[in-house]
Amino acid sequence: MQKKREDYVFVFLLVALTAAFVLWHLQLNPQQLPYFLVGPFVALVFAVLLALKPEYGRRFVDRIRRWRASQEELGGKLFHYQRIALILFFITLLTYPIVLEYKLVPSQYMSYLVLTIFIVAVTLSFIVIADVLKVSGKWGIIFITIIILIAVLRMLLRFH
Amino acid sequence: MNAMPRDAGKFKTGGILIVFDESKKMSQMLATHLRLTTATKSLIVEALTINGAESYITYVLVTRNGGILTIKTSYEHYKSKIATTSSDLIHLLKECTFECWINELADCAFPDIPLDLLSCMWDCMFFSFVCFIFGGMAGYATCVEACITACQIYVSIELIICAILAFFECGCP
Repeated sequence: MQKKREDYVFVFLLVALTAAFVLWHLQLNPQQLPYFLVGPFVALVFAVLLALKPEYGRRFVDRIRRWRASQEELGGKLFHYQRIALILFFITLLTYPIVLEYKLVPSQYMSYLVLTIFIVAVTLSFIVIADVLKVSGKWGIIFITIIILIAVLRMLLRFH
Repeated sequence: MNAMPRDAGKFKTGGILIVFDESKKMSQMLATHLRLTTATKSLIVEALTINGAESYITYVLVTRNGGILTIKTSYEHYKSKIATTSSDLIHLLKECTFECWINELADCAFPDIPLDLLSCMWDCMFFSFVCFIFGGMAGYATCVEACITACQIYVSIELIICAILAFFECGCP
């Protein structure tokens, strides 16, 4: 029960931080509102489709819960650090827009800030990747390969 | 002066634009122009205005989000970096230096990557409602965490790709 409460608090913290950041961002960049509406709209369509086929929905949720349970069981210390890494990663990366917006760092030191964010973010993500690979084995490798392909594709689209 | 709008595009990917401008009006015009045409690019579009009479430079930095920073500095500071003074427009060759790499990394990664993370996490909040329908609050908590973990991996891979691209952008082997 205590564990469950911990899980809820952790997720509530993530959701609250995300919502606060999105609201702050949209307040400054209201033109990006459509960009943030696409996700909820697609999610709604996805939810409706799964509600029409409840057996698929249940199977989907069961699979994620099983994966999460095995991560908790097999991950050991990595699982514990992974949660801390997740929160720290989020805070580190989203520090940049705040620093930029309120000019908290003089422009000549911005390169040091970029380097710090890069090193911290990559280090923290290695903890998460190690945890995923340790728990999920070959499925973890496939999952990360798919994410790499999507990231490469998006980067190519961004620069062309 | 007339060449400015056509040539400004060259500076989207780096370089320094030098304008001899004693009246100091040109820097403002140029900044406005660059703001309109290259607002989507980041900190590397730069314009220098050399004030002949007082030998300082008005350094105009057009940022990705359209903001303009103006810094006054000594001309001597830049003099050594300038390859040629035969033209009003001078494009500096990128060198394989740490400074170049970090600037290219910043240009590639920010502010797009934090925005990607934010929108990915935002989408996770909504996609996880499917798990709420079929698995209640416990299902929602599990899905949010799993989804946000995927966002973190995705964004960090984007960062690493940017670091590699920056390395090549600076002409490093």
